Amino acid sequence: MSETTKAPARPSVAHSVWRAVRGNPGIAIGGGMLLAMLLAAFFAPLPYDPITPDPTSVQQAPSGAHVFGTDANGFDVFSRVVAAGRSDLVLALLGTLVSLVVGLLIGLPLSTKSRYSEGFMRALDAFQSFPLIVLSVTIVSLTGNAIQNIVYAIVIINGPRFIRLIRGEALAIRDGRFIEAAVATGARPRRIVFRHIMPNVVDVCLVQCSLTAANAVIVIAALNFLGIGVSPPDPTWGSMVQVGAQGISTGQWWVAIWPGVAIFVAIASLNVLANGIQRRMEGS
Amino acid sequence: MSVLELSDVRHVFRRGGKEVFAVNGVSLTVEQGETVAVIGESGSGKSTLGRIALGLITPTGGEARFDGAALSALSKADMRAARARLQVVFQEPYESLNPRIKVGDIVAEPLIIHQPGLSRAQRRDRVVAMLERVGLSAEHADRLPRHLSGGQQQRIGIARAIITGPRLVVLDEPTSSLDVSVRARVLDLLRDLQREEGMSYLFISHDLATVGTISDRVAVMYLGQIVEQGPTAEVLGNPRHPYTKALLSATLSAVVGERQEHIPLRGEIPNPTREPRVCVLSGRCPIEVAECSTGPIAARLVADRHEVACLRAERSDELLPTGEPG
Repeated sequence: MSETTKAPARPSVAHSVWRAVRGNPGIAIGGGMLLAMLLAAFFAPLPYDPITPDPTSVQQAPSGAHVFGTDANGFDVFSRVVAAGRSDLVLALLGTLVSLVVGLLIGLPLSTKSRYSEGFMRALDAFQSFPLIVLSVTIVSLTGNAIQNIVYAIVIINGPRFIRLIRGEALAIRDGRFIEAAVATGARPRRIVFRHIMPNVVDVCLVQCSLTAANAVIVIAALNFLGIGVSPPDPTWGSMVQVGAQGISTGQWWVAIWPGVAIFVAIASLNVLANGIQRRMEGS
Repeated sequence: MSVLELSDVRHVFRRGGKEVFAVNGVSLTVEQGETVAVIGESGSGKSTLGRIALGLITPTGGEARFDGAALSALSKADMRAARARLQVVFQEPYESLNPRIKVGDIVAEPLIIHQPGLSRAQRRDRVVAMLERVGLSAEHADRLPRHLSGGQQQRIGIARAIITGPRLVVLDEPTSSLDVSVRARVLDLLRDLQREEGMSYLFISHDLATVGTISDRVAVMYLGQIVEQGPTAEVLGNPRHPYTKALLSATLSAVVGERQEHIPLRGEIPNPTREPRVCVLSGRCPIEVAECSTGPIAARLVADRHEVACLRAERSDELLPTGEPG
């Protein structure tokens, strides 16, 4: 080592963020839009109170006063579309997180080719062959309208996907030479799983998380459209579409379209994010 | 007492409904402080033999004893504890290191497992000392494996293997994926470490040139059997088995200026899907006689500590083309 060699100065956080953005716009754009929607839902100053209707202005087309118009009850559509992120996005992310944890807790221990784990996977196949959204709706409607039931519905649909993905990845990693090296070092099975396999499934889990959150946005909207998990007058995109649906044929397009656009934007940004993470994985 | 004692070890895999006879009756010992090389082509069963010696595979026949204890008789906990004294360095340096774990933590892992009483600071000191012994430095500890060169990665693999002071290290082609110049330095390092620590090596390789410089004894494997074994100088200088001779001629004829007859074997190494009932070289051997296909050929002593599994071992020099300049 020469004495003049010095460790390079650590780049500032802002600088490394900028470099990441330039190198991989997907993560920045997708993640940025998602973050913007979340921040707006909680902190943006809204022109009207989203849960207080104004009976004097119902079914008004978009205008300077109401940029997205108003619905049949006199709610300001713009305020409600923005504020709906508080429940839609938060529930989508929460459901995704729980699905991930379920996937890790079940998928990692099942990452063997034992008869037991193969049997479990076949049972999972059978479970997944149900139309899970119908199953979720049934479960949620049977167990009541509580908001956590929405999260269960997301986990019922996406948990099995995580289990399958994580188990598959872990099985492939298990064949790796460094796992054999860890076994030869004397590592216990638990150490192998959590110390050696888990860090190597993180990337692929991140991609799946983005896709799951996108799926969850749809599931939530569908359930809310059916009136499940909605406590009026709190705004959700699904219930807003439902309220506006009748208006489409009679010309009041704006009530249903704008929450639809919000759903589209949320899903698009999550998919762009997933794409960006995928790219980054392939690059490294 | 031998550090490692393999007696009549056999191993049959089942792959896609077919049986693969990977190891067919191998007996081999490794003494304290000794380096024994196992030479063979890919498919000869040498890596399977290494994994049996490590207790990673339980052989389907015969017995592997480490430090006097039969590996198959150890409980899982005892086997894990024994791994502090029984270590391995793999061929692929990068693949054998977890890409997500920093080098310092990789080297520390055997200590975490086998000496849980150490404090964080003590462990750190041991790791840094170990890194320095293998020719790296403390600053490498915070890097990820992919930030190191192939030679450095293999030094990490070596550091991990010897940090718990093992009695036996299985070296599974530790240098064959490295550049020639790097290879020589890694071999020097292995030799130095052995001199300081007094540990034994089971050195698995396909490369005779590498083996000649590091091993005390050589065992030549073909189709799951040891066809010839003995002191390195004896086996490399006075080979008796036609297969050893062919292997040597293939290596030496590559040396510039050394013109030597190439000893031909017919065809390629066959797939070991049948249990060998005759001489393993039967069908490829240039000096085969009828007796060779009457049964398996047992190894027998032809000189001091020099065993050969060939009926015509004594006369193989006359029968085969020799190393006379042509």
